[in-house]
Amino acid sequence: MKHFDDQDPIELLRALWSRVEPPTPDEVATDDRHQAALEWLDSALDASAQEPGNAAQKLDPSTTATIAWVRSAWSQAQVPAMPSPPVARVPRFVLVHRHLAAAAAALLIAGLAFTLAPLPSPKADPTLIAQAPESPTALVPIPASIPARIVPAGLELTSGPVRLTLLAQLTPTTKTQD
Amino acid sequence: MPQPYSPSPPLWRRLALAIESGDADALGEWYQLEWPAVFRLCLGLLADHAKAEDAAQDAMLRISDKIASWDPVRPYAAWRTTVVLNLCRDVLRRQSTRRDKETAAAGQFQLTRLPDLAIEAERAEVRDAIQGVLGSLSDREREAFVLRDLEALPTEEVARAMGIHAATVRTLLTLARRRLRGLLAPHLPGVEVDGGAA
Repeated sequence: MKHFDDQDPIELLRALWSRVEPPTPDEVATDDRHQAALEWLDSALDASAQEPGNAAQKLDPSTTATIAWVRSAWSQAQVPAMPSPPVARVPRFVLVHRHLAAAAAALLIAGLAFTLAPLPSPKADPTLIAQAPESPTALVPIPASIPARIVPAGLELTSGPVRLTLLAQLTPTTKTQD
Repeated sequence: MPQPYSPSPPLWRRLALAIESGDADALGEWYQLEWPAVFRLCLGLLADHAKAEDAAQDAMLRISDKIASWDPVRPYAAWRTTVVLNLCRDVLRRQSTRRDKETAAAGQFQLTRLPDLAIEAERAEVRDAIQGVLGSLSDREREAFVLRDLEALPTEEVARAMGIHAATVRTLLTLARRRLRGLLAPHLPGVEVDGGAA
């Protein structure tokens, strides 16, 4: 018994096609043998197109039973417990945008901190902040000239409560500022 | 012809869009739908239960990562099968040395008795048998057989997934069927064996 399922269906069709004798033009419409062969080939090709794969290939019962058993065993194979899907998977483009947003936020915060750092906070300790004089009269007037007098140790310059004594040996050419 | 589980294309499109936008519920729904199919595909392609489980987990992650690249014009099942097939090929390639030993061992696989699929207690034997039977095929024969006869993908899609010509798929399929028939037919009830075994 010949098993056609052992042959490549394309090869089978090719072999059958080669056996079809080309009809002469006047035989095309009348030759039943060629017409039947062409119809058979057309139907075989149609079946092949409709039923994907090798529908033109007829399987013998033992092959059919074999495939059926494997298919049944395979479909009944115990499927292990489903793994839990990854939680909160975030698409890549969202991740990229998130990173960009985080970087921009960090930059903004750093900029703000840098800008605002020298400014005193309203809640800051007032004793740590330089205070402006309460009134312009509180300013110490700067004398137009610093009084100086010659003392035994040298020259003494006076500016308010501050006295500066220059301990140098004075010569007669030393000038004092009036 | 078996009809593999195949939800309607709009469902896949909806799930793909939702997963892409980070919808955790959609991801969970997709996992429930896909896990059994992806595991069975890995089991068929790897012929090993433990490896199939690991590969299926990797495949689920890979598919969910790549789902944005799925072109809805192409059937979802075919696209998913291609992704899983490539992953399983990577697994086999990484374990090539081990695989060679296993293939050699699998070539010696002999069935003394076909376990009854209807008996719950024989589940473990069925699992061993399916591993042994599929493991007796070469990698390419197994790919063709699993995708065409078990997954019921069209031959053209199988060829596209495997990256070979459709005629080659048919040849591989014929070889695989012949080998399996030789292995199983003597044990199948009501099947006459007429020397067609490989």
